[in-house]
Amino acid sequence: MEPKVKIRVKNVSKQYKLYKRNFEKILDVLPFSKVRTQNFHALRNISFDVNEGETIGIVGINGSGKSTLSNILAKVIPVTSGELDIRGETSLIAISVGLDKNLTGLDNITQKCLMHGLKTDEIKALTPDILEFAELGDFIEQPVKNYSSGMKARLGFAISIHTNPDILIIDEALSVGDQTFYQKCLDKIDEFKKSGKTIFFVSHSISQIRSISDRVMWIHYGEMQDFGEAESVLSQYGDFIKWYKNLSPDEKKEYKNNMNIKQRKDFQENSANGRLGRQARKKKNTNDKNDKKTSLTFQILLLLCFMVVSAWIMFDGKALKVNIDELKMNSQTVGKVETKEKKTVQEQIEKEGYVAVQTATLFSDRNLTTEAVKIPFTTTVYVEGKVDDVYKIKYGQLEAYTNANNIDISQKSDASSNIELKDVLKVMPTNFTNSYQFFLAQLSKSFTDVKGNLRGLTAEGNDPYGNRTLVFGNLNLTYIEGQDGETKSLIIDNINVADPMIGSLSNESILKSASGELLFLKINQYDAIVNMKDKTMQLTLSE
Amino acid sequence: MSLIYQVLREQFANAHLIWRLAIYDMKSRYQMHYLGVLWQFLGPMLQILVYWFVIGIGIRGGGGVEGQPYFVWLVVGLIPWFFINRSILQGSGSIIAKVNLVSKMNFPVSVLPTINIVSNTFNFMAMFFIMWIILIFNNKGASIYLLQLPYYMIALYILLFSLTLFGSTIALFVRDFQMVLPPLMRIIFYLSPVLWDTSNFSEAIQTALKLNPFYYIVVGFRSSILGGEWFYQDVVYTVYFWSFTFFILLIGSLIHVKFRDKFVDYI
Repeated sequence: MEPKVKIRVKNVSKQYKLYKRNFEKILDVLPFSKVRTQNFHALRNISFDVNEGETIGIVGINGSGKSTLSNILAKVIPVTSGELDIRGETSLIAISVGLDKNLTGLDNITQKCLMHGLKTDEIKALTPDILEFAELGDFIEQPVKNYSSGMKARLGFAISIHTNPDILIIDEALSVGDQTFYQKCLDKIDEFKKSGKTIFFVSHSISQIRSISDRVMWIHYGEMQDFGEAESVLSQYGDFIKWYKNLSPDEKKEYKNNMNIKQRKDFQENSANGRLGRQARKKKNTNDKNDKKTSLTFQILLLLCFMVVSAWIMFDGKALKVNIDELKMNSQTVGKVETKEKKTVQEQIEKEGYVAVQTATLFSDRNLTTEAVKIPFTTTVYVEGKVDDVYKIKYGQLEAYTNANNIDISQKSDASSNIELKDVLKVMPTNFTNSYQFFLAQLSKSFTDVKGNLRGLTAEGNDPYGNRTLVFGNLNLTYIEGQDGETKSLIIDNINVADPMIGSLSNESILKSASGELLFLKINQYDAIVNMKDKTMQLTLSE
Repeated sequence: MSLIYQVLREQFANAHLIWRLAIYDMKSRYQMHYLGVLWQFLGPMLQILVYWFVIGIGIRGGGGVEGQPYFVWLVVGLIPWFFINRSILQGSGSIIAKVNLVSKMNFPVSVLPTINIVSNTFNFMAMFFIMWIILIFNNKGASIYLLQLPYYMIALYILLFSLTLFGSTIALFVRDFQMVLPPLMRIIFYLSPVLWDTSNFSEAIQTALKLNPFYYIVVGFRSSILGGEWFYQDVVYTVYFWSFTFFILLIGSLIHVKFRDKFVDYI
């Protein structure tokens, strides 16, 4: 029966780049970098097949590439060139197997198994086996940093061997254990062999290799020196070691140097044919590589471009608009071009003002389209600012806009007038003056009482601000209800505006409307508003 | 793009691995402490209270922001930030922390930052839940804008993945990166509208602050949860955010893939 090939390695090489400085490593990543580096051939043209159930010993002196090979077989590092065909899961056991030294042994088992892709319940089932194999005793609850090197190696070996790999690679891991542990490992390896698994065994110890291996591979400075039956390879290797040991230190150094120089050299093919083929392939490779690099550079630049342009628009999009506005303004000041669009003028005011027209309409929008509320002459408002000829004002809690002509923001004069109520009586109609004390006494009485107290009610209605009114047409009187059901003010119709008294009222007034037709003044305890156009006087009790 | 595809494929192929290691990571992190997992919430809660007291009450005098009570406004910005901060700091150190463990085995190193992001997600989700309780107590119902929350979540995860992939690789060969990162994150924290609202600044300064991609995320979370505007309403900023994110993702993937077989050499 033909044995099944488990691992096929064909022409595998591994090169390391020798950088002179640290930043060359970073520079080399950049697609346009031209850092020239020297190559070091850790492995050169290695080819072999390994069958299922075989145990392969790997020998070689220090720095010959044994660990590189085992790392490649464990897929820890990629190859530079060549083909690698590994059928199955591999597990690498090295001296420093990679334990987290701050975690306890138990936690390391869990973490390491998780990293190998095991499920939590699988790990639970495996943990007792691992603990038994590692023989750590009470130390299992201790952080790994307190472990001896033997303990670490045992734990690492135990974990790796229990993750149930198809291919096991043991890289000098057994050299630290004592005799009993070593025996235990051998038993385990035998168990693996019997279940048809493939094992690679890297060691310096010829006797260890001899006792385990079916076949032996001798790696010498990156090249495969020999691969075959254990006995013959090991005896050759033994001879070489014996020869090498007998060299003087200087000779050893020279030998090593020569070998290393050889490893730094690039390939020298023997046949011209091979060289041509290789060159052609190399050319194709570099072309592909260049294409990739160009496309990568393009992608990076494209994204960078997007980033910069969008950032620029974020910044300068606004600047652009401002520039256009400025241009417009300039053309206006020159005056040659008449633009319909007027530049908006904004102004902070932050002052108290009062309504200077009979009724001011407040709007809730700047274009004065949505009416909010109407307020009468003398109402105090707070003017926040001005946009064109519209005031932005605050009336109580309400923010509103109104025509700037409606509001006077010049300071109110506080001077109280010297005019007495008696003096004003002569402008009033006679039916009022006859019993003015009674009519005035109705103010501050309840609105319904007033309705009962006076006779001759001709109409009931509402004034423009929504207050209820009682009109006594024959008496030339209108009473207006206030907020709380009391009678707030009294309007006297048909006053005589031709009387010279009106002139002195005008002089004594605290506020005057823009047109001069409305006067506001204080007469005794009353606030009086004289409307010369409507020939009325409104009296309200001062607060 | 093939590099990004390669890295992303590794994430999806190892989804189970990421999931299990993230759970293990979360469990083991607080194992040694008496209050255990509770610390995941105690720390952030204390921080929220201090910021609310010092800035909300002390500096702002209890006033609201953008029509919201400051406390609500703060919490909605701060909870994503806690997640961002932890993920970036831990994610960027993730490869250095584990490189000895993975150097001798066939392990997809690119999932290490993702494991950190996923393990921090558990905490993030719990904090998110607490945030909803705070919102409900403040009578903040869900609005139609909540529909864009998944968009901002995806944006946040892609941004975090890109930055941690980039950061964790850079941190390996430029060791100074690990020293620069914590103060840098603190600066970015104060330059993001997490604690305070930037609308008092001039347009130019606001735009400069917007170049920080976390600005996009924090503002996005607020407008999803508290209502505001749709993500497509500021097209230019959205384009900027995604081109920034993919630029970092591409550079991160490039250096990660190029260098991963040499990670051990840098230790």
